Amino acid sequence: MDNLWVRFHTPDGVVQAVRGVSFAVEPGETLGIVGESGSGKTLATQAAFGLAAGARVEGRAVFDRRDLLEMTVRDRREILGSQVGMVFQNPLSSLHPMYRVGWQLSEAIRIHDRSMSRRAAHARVVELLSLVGIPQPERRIDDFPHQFSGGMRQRAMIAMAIALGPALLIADEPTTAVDVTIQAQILQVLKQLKEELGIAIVMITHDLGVIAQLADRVVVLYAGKVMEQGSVRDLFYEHHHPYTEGLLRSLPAAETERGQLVPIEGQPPSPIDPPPGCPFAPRCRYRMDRCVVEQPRLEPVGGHRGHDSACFLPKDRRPSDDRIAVEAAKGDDSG
Amino acid sequence: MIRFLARRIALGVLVMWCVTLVVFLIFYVGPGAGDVARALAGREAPPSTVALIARNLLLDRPWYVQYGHFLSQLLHGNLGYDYYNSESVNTIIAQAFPVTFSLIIGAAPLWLAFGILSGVYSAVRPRSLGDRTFTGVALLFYSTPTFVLGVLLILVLYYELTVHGVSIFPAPGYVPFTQSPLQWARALILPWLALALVLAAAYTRLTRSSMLDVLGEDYVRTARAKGVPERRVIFRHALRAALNPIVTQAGIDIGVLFGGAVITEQVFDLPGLGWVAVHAIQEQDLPVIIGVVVVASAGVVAANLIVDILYAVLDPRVRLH
Amino acid sequence: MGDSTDQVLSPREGTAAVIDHQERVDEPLLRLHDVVKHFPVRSGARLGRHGREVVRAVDHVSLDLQRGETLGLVGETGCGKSTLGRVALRLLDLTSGSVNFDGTDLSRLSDRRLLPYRRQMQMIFQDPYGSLNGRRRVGSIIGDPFAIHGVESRSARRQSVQELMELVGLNPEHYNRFPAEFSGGQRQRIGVARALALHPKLIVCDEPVSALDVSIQAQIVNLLAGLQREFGLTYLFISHDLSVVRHLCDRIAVMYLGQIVEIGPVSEVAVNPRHPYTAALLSAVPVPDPDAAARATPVVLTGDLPSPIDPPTGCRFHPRCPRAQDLCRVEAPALQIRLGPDAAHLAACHFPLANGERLDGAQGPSSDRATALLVESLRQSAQALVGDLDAAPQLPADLASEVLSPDGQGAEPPDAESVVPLPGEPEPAPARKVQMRSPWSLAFQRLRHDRASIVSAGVILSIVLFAILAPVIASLTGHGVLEQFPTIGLTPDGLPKGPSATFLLGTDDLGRDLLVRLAYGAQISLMVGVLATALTVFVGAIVGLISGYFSGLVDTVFARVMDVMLAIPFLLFAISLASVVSVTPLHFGPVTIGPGISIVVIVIGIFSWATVARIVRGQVIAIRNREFVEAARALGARSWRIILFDVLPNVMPTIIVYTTLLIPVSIVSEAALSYLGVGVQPPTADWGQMIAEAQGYYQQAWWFLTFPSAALILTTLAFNILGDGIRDAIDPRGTDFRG
Repeated sequence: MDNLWVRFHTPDGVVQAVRGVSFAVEPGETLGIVGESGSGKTLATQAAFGLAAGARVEGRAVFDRRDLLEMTVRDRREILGSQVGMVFQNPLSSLHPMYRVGWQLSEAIRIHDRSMSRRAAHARVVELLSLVGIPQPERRIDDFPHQFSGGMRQRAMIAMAIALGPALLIADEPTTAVDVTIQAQILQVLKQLKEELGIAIVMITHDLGVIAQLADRVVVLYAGKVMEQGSVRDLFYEHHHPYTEGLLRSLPAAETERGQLVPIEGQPPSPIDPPPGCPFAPRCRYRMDRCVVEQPRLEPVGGHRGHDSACFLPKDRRPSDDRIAVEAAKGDDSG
Repeated sequence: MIRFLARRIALGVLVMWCVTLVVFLIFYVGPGAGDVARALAGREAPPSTVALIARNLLLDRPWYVQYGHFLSQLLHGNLGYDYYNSESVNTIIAQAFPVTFSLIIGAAPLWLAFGILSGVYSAVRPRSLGDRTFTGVALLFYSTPTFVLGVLLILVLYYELTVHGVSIFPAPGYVPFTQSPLQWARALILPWLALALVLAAAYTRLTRSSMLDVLGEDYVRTARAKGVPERRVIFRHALRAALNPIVTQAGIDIGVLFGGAVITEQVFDLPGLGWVAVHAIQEQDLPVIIGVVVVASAGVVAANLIVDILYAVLDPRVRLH
Repeated sequence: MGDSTDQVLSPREGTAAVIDHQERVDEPLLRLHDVVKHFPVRSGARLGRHGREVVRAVDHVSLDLQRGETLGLVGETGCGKSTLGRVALRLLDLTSGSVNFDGTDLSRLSDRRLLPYRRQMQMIFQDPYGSLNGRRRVGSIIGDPFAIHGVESRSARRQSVQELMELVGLNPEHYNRFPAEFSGGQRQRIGVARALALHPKLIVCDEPVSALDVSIQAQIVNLLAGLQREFGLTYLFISHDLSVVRHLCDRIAVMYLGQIVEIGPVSEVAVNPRHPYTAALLSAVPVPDPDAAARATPVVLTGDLPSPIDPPTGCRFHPRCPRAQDLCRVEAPALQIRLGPDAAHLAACHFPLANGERLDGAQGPSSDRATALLVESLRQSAQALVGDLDAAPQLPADLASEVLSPDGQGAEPPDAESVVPLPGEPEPAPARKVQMRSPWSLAFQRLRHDRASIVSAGVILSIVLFAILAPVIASLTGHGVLEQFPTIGLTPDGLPKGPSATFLLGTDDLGRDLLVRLAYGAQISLMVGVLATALTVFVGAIVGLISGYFSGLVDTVFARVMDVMLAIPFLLFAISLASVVSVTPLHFGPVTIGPGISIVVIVIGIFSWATVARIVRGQVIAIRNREFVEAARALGARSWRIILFDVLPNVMPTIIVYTTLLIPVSIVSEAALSYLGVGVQPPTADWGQMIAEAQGYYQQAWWFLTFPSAALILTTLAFNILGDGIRDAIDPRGTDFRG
């Protein structure tokens, strides 16, 4: 993604959902995109692939050396499903309620591979279902989505997304709507895909724990802009941006003492009329006068390449007390 | 599934029973029934006929006995006897039914096809010129009462054209299918149009609304994310899900038409169930009125039942409830 | 306090925990003893096979809640924790067992007798959007408890409400705002304020932070903790989020499939879980620390949650438990294992984990061989893919024009400035000015911008004016509505005369002034349209409300009546009734109903109410399951109050829309009846009748047919457009952007 802008024109004004976001995913890499509601994390990828209705998209979104935004709808559709797979948040509403699960998976395959016979597709679907851990796939293939449990549905969606061996899997909050034990199963499946098939994954989530488990690199979004990006260790141990710091400190797992969590006071800004300066300024405890009027650019932090932060604070600042909080949390958990 | 069906059928029977009760009460017992026997015999019947009727229908017995008799007759398929025209009501209805049926069977495909297709188009390209046109035209026809449209159609398409020498459309009237299929169709084109145009308008709106809802659903997004071509997404994924309210409405509309095409039949002089009923009402011919009402209600109940079954077929969630 | 029937507790039996070793200063505030809650299954397909099938939501749970403590109730979907919370508050009836609050047994008390207790136990709900009635002002919502329990006068109430708002961190000046103007976190604060209003002793928090963003969650958790300290509250904290529970609670109880599997102090359970399920749960929570995550070997449970209708035999967890043995399949373990010195820590397991023992990771979902096979086949298919594009049609890039709502758990509305900064925290930057926006004024504004609707409204007003001024028109032209003018109004052949200076719209077949008759006809159409619709909507709405809210027998009866009414062919019955009445008018005391307007209105009203009732009923059923209705019941509100203040405002929009759409239908029905000769009788002027009369004169007198038809179509069209406009204004889908 290169300087991606996504806007919506509504009767209430122009909603600026994504404002100049840039990031990159290397083959085989897992990129985590972290953000809360209104950060634009979902829209960035969806709009790039033409799945956001009514969105006006600018910038470049290059996949495999071709700019998605310059392609025709037809070409984009050809890529979707075969080279890029997507998994969405709510598996019950994301699967068509009136068609059998096997049919839907089979469709995913045969749309792109016309030469495959129905029987061959059927066999492939059974294979896929058993790969993602669905018991008795031969029987399950004829079930409807509402006959599957939540975890199974999500696994079926993953199977559908990887059916044709895509190079990239975009997982949009895949575990937000499921229980934690099911989430563990799904994360395990994803880890397996990552390790054994070398799929690149874009993992969109608000859950920092999931990021820690799965991601190699992380991008932190807030109000449609990139606040910080870097390797996963950079972000958790050497983070620079106050928003990242705030997120980590507000986690219950990272409490310093029982009784007081450290929230980030205030609310995210309105996407319709964002303030001129840094979007996080109103809530930032390190705010300076400059922050309110001028937007900080994404600049390198620390010693090594690949870690950038959009903040006016000096780049050699070390978040000292935060490190203590994280260490305390490390010793606290029972692993 | 069987249980589901059985429950619906039992319900339908219950409803029919209630309808017969209401009919009976209104016409035999209720206010305005007056002298039932006389009413049934017709205005000019001799007293002997009146007395005969009174005896046959047990009119001197208490009302529940009368009702029992009425009901048992019904269950034997006997809808009564038309003393006015000296025909059994069954015959009258048997003659009228094909007419109404012809009307429906031609109009229904027309309005469904036109309504659904234009609705889908409107939903897929909202605010386009096509959408605005379809929606506007639909609104106009939707606001035109059937009888006004029918009258206008006759006068413009039949009368004016014929007077000017272009006689594509025949005079209002019915030609049985068995007599001449071509003439049958020719005679029915205008009535089909009158009925279909107004109803299509309603279906354009309904389809558009339902499709717009469905197009925003997650599973449509998933289909696109799978790479499914847009046309397939619209018809196989979206329309399939949007059909539910459309099917329900179609079932109701078709069912109601069996007794409700009164206006169209009147305007175009088609001796169907509605036409028969209206004339019976004008002549105060109770047996026929009752017969038509019962048949019409049965039509509605049957249509609802079919809709329920179709619903279960279309939507697997209902099936495995 | 409660009534004087003190209950002596019977000795506990069955699977109840033996916890008399626990130090107790007082009686527990809340005691649940052997609580069972089963829900009947409404599945026609399965009836009769196993007898009545039930969902065993809560199966023999016993729990004590001490004053001032926070007990966390943890579990995943379907474990029964929410049900248990509701049973504890008596929002649900118990199937068996007992609920004891502050010494009083509440298990069998009726709603009326429970009312005083409702002041002492309250609930905070999960969904910040569903738990507040969007159509009521926030001050009214928070003040509800006062109103329901008859505490404090109106004026004092306002002050109390504002104090509460300040207490929870809201700006008291926003008293008159609507929930839509607040963010998710703020809405939860409103819910907390409402729960706190009557100073309860116990608050059940049902997943209060699950629907909020992480940074906001912390705010609410702090708020709850602070309030507990200040008011000495007791919390039953239900959550699936272990980290929050770990932070806030003293004790924690873990539930699985309707039973408590482990209970104890949080410092114990969280660090040294005994039950395998607890251990799996804890290890499944992803730790936000990459190094730890890389080291960790999480226990991944196989399979899914079994159905609560048919739970496994013996220990319910055994099919998924890595430590399961034969005994586990056969015998259900009881929650009464003594575990070392900290005997308050209990686990229901035959083979609990020893202190410090770790659970072995379960095997993954697939074996290596299957994976290898798949990898190979995927590589092959990737190579086989040729760029053979199917001929999909070209469509423009922007198809539908809906606005995708912002992602995430709680979309934050544009208004972002209404948080009072806590001391020491940075001031939020000044944001846009926001005016007070009730849902009604919003809808009205949208309507104002809809040009088509404005024009239609204008047309309707003109027609109404036209109708009202009919007598004036008659006197101005000097032609009465029934007056015939055979000499000046007809041609020598006796045919109607066309529009002229004398007769602006021409005459009809009897030489009457068409313009005047049109005006009087408008009166009839509008009168019938409005009256019939009013009758229909009134009856239909009432029936729909009652039938929808009170399910059961009432609903079944009404639903069947609706079915019957809808099965009766309207037109035929209308015609029949009208004709019956035309022969023998009905007499109800002083009122005579003969042919004419009254019978038409009645007939239309009788046959249309069922449509409205059915729709209203559907809506009411949807609304009655929303959380804000539950909240009202938790406060102790009576049914009529809930229907009036909570349900009705949310059904109003539908009712309004249907009213505007039914008016043209009534007008057309009336015209149709008159056309057929069974509505308004001649010589009264009526549009439908005029059309019938004009048919035969089409050739010679086009105006006779055209003007009444045009009037009818125009009126219907205007009402339909306005109705559509109102519907879009009330419930915009964002597809028709204007301006």
